[in-house]
Amino acid sequence: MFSKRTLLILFLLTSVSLNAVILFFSLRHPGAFSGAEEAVFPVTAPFQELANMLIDKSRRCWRDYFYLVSVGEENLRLKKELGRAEETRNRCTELELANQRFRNLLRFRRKIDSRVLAAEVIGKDPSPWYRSIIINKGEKDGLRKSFPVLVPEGVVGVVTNVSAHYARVLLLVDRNSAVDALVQKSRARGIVRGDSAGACIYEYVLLRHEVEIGDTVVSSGLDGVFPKGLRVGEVTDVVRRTGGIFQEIKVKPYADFEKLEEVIVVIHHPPNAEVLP
Amino acid sequence: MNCLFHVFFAVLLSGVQVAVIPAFFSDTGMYDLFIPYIFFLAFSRPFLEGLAAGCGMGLLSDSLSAAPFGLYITAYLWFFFLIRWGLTVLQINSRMFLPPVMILGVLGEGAVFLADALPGGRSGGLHHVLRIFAWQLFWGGLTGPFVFTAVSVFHRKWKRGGGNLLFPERVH
Repeated sequence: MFSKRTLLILFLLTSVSLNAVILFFSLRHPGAFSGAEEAVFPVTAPFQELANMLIDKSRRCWRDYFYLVSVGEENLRLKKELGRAEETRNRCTELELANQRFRNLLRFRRKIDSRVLAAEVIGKDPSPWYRSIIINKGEKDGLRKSFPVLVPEGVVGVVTNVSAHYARVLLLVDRNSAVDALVQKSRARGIVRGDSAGACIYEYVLLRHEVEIGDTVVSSGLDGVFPKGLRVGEVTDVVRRTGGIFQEIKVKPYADFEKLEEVIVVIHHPPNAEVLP
Repeated sequence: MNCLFHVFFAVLLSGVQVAVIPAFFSDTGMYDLFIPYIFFLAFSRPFLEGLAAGCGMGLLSDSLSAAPFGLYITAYLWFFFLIRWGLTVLQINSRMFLPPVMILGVLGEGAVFLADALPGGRSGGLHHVLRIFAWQLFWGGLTGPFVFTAVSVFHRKWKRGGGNLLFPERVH
């Protein structure tokens, strides 16, 4: 009855008219189709939300990726800075410790009534059977053989070999070392000798002299090497054998020979020089 | 050239012994690193070269240590002669012999030092002596062969690069 073309034209006209009527009605009565809208929302909204979320996620991923790259770079930079800060802190700690040691040395130096020279320990004896150190001052700095070497804690040893810029110091704990000493309290005199195992033996102290554990042993100044009154060590053991002449006394040196870093060399002391209290 | 090689190793080993090792083994000390070197001299160098280098190293060690002068030279030379004699009598070419030889060297040197310490009665007591010996023998047996191998390998490379100017090579 109708051709296909006529039907299509009729359909288009009807659609346009219907659209115009709905539009007209909708403009005249807003909210007339709200029910339809409300019915559509629950169906479309989740999809919209999902799409939105995906877009948001992908956008954030992209942005975070770039952030991560920059964060990684920043992390590397911060790590480097942290390393440098750690190094600086360590250097500061070392300087602080060195400063403390130097202050101690300086304070101690003021107590000695002699000309002294500070030196740094640069090496130790290669053999465990002998105890000596090498210091970075020598003949050109005024050092000579038999000069006493000290730290604030006590006697360290004596200079035995001197070259132009270096010297070897025989430590108090070496078996070939000897210091003429006194027990501070009882004034009992004897010779402090090393026994190579990190301790000393106080020899030739007569039985009649009173020596107790914990007594302080100081240099007597009679050996002509060490000024009088320098702290040598503490008595740790006393053995009195009946029938003997001398006591067997063990002394623990005040100086820690494992931790020696800086020492003081007494380069000149008057014959009657003493350490001030 | 070999002279330079020995001087280089003498300075290196003495530096390690005086400055590096005391930082880690301050109480007991490590074994004498020159012992593997003396073994190297006796084992693979001509007699005169080994003797001269051994004396030089003994002199160096004697100067660095508070030991009575000549003790290190004595220890090194006895060890050198003992190894040279051992090479003529025994076939100690196998690497298996290295740890016992190093231990023998450490023991020998320790005995020389102890011979000096014991008469004075101030060796620090038996406990102290045994502790030092045990420690040194352990490290000597464990690392001595490696020091010897390292010196040998380094010398081979040195020879390839330089030459032998002062002493003629021993013909095997």
